[in-house]
Amino acid sequence: MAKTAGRSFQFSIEGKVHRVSLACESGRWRVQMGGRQLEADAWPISDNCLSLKLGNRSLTVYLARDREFRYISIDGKQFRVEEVRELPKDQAFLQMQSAPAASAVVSPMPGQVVKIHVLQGEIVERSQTLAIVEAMKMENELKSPRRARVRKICASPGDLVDAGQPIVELELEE
Amino acid sequence: MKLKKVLVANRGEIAVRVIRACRELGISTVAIYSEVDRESLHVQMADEALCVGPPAPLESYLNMDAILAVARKSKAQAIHPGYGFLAENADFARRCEKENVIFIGPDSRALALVGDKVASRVTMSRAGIPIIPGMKEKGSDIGHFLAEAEQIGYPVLLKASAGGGGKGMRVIACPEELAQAVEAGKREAKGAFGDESVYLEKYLPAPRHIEFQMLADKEGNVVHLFERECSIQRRHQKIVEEAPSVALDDALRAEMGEAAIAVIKTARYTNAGTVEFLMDDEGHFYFLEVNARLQVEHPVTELTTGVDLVKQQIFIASGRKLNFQQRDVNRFGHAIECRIYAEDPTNGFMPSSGRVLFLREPGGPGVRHDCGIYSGCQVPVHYDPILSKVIAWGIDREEARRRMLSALQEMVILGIQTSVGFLQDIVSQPEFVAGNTRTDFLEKYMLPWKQELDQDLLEAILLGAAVDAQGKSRAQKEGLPVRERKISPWQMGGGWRIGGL
Repeated sequence: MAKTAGRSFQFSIEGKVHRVSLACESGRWRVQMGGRQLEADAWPISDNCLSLKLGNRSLTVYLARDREFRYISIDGKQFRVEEVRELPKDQAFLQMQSAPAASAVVSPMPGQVVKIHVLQGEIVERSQTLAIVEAMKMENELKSPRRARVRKICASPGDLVDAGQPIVELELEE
Repeated sequence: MKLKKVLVANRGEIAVRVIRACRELGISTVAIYSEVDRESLHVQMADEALCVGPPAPLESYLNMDAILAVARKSKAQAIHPGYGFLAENADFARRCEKENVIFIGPDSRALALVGDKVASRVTMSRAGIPIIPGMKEKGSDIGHFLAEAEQIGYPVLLKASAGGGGKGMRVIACPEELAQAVEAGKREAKGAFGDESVYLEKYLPAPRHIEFQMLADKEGNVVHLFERECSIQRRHQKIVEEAPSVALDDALRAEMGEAAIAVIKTARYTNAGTVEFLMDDEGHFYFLEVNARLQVEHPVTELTTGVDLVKQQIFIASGRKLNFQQRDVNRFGHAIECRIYAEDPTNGFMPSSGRVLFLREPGGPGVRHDCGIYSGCQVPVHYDPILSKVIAWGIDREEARRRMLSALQEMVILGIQTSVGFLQDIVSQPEFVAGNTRTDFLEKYMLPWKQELDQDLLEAILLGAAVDAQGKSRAQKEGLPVRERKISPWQMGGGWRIGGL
C-alpha cells in the first residue's frame, strides 16, 4: 500500500490540548504523540466503532461526532474530545485583547429560571446564590464564583434558557 | 377478573418494564406521551399510543383529565402508574375508582394515609413502630419551622410530605439557612407533587438505608420479599442498590420484616409497596416512610427472589389472592443495581440532555439492563434524567459486584453526559467492596470526582480521534461522503402522516 503524507491534529481533552501526528504506511499507522512514537493497526468496525491494536493490545474505541466534538468511550470510560484548529496569530492576539473584564454566570443546562436572588448593582460574596434554574424537576443554584458587583441581570423568572446562556453578569469588585 | 388492556401512565425505562410484563401476560398496552416524547421507546413498544399534552409534566404525565380521557377512549381497564408522576397520587387513584378504571396500586385511602408522610409517621408511632424524631404535623409559617427545628436540634432535614425521590429535600445546618431552604423545598415539592407541604425531622448523618419489599393482596395477606440496601445516594436520591444488605443478620432481618408487615397491616395497604427504614451502626432502625409504588430498584428483589413484582401488582389489582405465603419466599444469591442517569458527576450531578448518538447495551451472565433509550433518541430536559438501570446478579456479593463492573465497562452511551464512569469507580471503591455503605458514602469517599485518565487510555483516545479525523478529512478531500447518510422520509421529522390519518 502507498505511503500517505503525515497529518497533524490537536485535540483538547479535559482542558488540555494534545498534538497527534499520523501517517499511514502499508496499512499501518505511524503515530507521534507526547514525544512518543507508536505503531498501530486500526480497523473500522462501524461508523461508531474502531478496533485498535497497539502492539498486541486490542482496544475498542466507540465514538460519535457532534460538531467540533467527538464523544469517545473506551472500557466504559467516556470523554468529550474537541478538535482544536490553530488560529492564525493575529486572531489569537485579538481574542486575548477582548478577554472580558466582566464575567457572566451562565446556565449550565437548558432549563427554566425559577428565581433571581440579586439586584443590579448589588455586591455579592463568593458562593452566594445568584439565581435558581430548574431542569428535570431539580432546582440548581447558580452561585457567584467570587466577590463581585452585579453588572446586569440577563434573565427573568419564568424564562426558558439554554446551556451557556448568561443569567447574571458580574464585574470584579476589588 | 382477567385484564385485557392496560394504560401505562409513565415514560422511559419504567414504562418499558411495565409493557414487557403486560406482553408476557397477553395484556395489550396503551402508552401515553407528551409532545416531546413521540419518538420515545415506550411509545414504540406499546400496542397503542396517545398524546396527552405539552412537554411540561403538569400538562401531560400529571394531567389526570387527559390521561383518564385516554383510558376511556382506548377502553383500557386498568392504569399502571409506574413510579413518580401520578404513582402515589391519592386524588388520581380516587378518580380512577370513580370512573371504574383499576388503579394498579393501593386504593386511594391507603395512598392518602401513607402518601401523607406526616400522618403516616403519627399512625406508625402510635402502632409502636420506631420513627425518626421530628415534626408530627406539617409546618406552617417560618416561625413554626424555626421553633420546631430548635426543639429537634440542628442539623434538621426538610422533607416534602407528599413524596420522595429527594424532591423538596434539604439538609439545614443552622437557623440562618432555614428560610431559603423552606422556600425552595416548598417550590420543588409543589412542582413535583402538586402539594407544597413540608416538614422537618432529625437529620441522621450517616445511617444505612434499608427497605423491605412488600406484597399485600386484597384479602389481607401480607408478605415481605426481604430487604434492599440503598445507602449510596446523591441529592438524597439512590443511585446504587443491592439485596441482601451486608448489615443484617437473620435475626435482625426477621425483626425488621415483622415490623414492615405491621406497618402494611396498620395502613391496611394493598398491592406492592416498600417500607423504608434508616438504621444506625448499632442495628437500631427507624421507620422512614412507605413508598406506595413499584420502586426504581425493584429488579434486585426480582433477581434474588425470582418473583416478578410487576406481574404481582397486576394480579393483586385484578383481585387475585397471593399464591404464596411468607414461608415460601426464598432468596438466592446477591444482586446490585446501578442507575444510569443523564448527569455530570464532575459538576454537582447537573442534569444533561440532548441526543444519544450511540448506545451499546451490556450483556453477559447475570446481567439485566432495563433501558428506556436507544441510539438516536432525544433525552428531553423536562423529566427525571434516568436513562436505564444495569442490574447484576451473582452467587454472592463479590460475584455480583464483578459482573456489575464488567457490565458497566461494556456499556457505551455517547452524546450526553452520564454516570457510567462514576458508577464503575463506586463499585471499585475499597469501602464499597468491604460493604461499608452508608448514606454519606459519596461525600466521604467519592467526591469531588473526575474520570481518571492514564497514559494508556489517553493514547488510545488520541489515536482513535486522530484516525477518525484522518478518515473524515480524506473523505472530504476525495469528495466521498463522510458517513453514508440514507435520507428517508422517516427521518425528516415532524408532521409526516400517511393518507392524512
